[in-house]
Amino acid sequence: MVKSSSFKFGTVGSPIATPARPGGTVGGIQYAASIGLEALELAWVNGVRVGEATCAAIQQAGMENGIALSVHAPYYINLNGDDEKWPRLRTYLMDAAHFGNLAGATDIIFHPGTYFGRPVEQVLEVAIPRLRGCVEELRAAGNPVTLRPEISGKAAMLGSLVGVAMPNFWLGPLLIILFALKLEWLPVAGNEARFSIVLPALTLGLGLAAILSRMTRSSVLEVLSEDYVLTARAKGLPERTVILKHVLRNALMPVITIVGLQAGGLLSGAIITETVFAWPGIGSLLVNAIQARDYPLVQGCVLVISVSYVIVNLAADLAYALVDPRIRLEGRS
Amino acid sequence: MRGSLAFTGLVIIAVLAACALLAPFIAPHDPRAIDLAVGLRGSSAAHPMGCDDLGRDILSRLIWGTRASLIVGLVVVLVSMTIGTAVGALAGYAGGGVDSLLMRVVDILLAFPGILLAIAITGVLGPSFAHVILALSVLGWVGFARLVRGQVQSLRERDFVTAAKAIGAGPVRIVTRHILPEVMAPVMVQATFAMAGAILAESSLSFLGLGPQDVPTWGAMLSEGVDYLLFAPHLSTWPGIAVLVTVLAFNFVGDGLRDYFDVKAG
Repeated sequence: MVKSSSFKFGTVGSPIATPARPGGTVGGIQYAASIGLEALELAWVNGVRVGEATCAAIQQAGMENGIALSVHAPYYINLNGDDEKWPRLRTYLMDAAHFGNLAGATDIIFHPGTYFGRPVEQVLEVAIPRLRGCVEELRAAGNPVTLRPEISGKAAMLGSLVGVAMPNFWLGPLLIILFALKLEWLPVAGNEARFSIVLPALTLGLGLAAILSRMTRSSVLEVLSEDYVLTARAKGLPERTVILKHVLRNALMPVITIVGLQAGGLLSGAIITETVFAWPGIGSLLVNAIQARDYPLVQGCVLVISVSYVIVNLAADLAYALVDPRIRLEGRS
Repeated sequence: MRGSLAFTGLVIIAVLAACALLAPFIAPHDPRAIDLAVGLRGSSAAHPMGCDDLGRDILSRLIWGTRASLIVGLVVVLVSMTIGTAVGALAGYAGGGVDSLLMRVVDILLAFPGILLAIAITGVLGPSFAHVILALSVLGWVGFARLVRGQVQSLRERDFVTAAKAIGAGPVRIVTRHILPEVMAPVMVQATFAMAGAILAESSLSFLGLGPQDVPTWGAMLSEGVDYLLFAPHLSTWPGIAVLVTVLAFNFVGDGLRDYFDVKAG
């Protein structure tokens, strides 16, 4: 029933993603809902392309106004039409949200861009109250609409692709610059201070997180089209239960395999991360041993790391049985 | 989105390949020319990406580094692909004792996580171009072998193989003419991802000081630049971006190829 691979997750109403007919935003939302998309993004093409600086400024202003916004350049919006245009835009927005809700999509994802070159502060002053007003009206009319910042599948997946490709011997220095040198929140290196572990752990973990999020995404998409998900929805379970209990649990199987396999990546990644952060672990011990031509020590380190890798993989195999009751760990008889 | 990303990846790879091939002609300076007077300088007309601590032009070193990275990646992937396909086809088609023996070897090699074995090999043999390629190929073929073995095992039961046997084709002919062409699509996909992995691994080894010593490499540039993070971040930023973009490009193309050939992820 769900055919999501063909859909380009873009801004509904933008030239890239607008489906042919029924036209405009409403048609876009109907289409989005018909293919099983739960979230939708609202935007209008009348806007102007913006640069990164403007986006950052919008985001900042949004934070100060109590709304968390996700901004990408270039993007389009136009909630800020002048007073003549606004009623028509408001109708679009209300229609879009209403039809989206009828089709099972209850979120308005706010995608700010820029407005005809006006200063950001002015834009948000006008646009945010208007958006909030519309959401409140919709709620009053019985539509359970929520306003949330855009977490676009595309942006998130592009981010995770970058995470996969990011060499951790560069990510480490970047994190040091940001958190240790510029913000001075965390220690630069070593393991004496209390929070020394944070930066190395982040460096090592972000890459794995990126791989796992890609894996989980494709796994979830696959499970979503299973009949038992349809059954769960049909018997009226809340969406949260469907996703957490029925979809995610089944989708975790391949993810566990990857966790086990990636443990090796973590172990060897630790060698580099430990070198970057001067962390006195077995990885930096190995590198020092190699540089000192201390072969017994090299052998010992390699052995310890390999054995722990094998143990982690065994643990991953055992974890299958915990997640999937169909698998029984019994000897062949 | 996939198609356009794959295309972007292809364009990036084409540009990188041009950089690697034409490095002596397009690099504005000698990558080894030292000029202490301009050490650690930021970008200028003569040095668009600035200079490193010894005053060597970063752009020129990046361009030469492309050559090192792509050569290592390409050779490692070709060697791994050849050995892995041969071993995998043998194990998959012969089955039985040969299969068990070869797969135990594969299991042993797989017990070494990531580039650990490569670090150990280059560490013991000493850092050089050939040793990096050797170290990465020792582990690289394993993935191909497993992939090809699985494919061959399922293909050899198919009717066209029985038909080939019936007309009297020998095992070598069946494997090379009938089975291997069917396996090439997933192998090509795997090769693209392996290329990204090999380039990343080469940079990691260079970062640890275990890479090729006589040519500039991105990993070595990064590790030299880390010492000057605070006041000259451009030293490590440019090689970092280079590695990131290159790996990303090969991953994009790999994703695109996988979709094109409709290969199941693995």
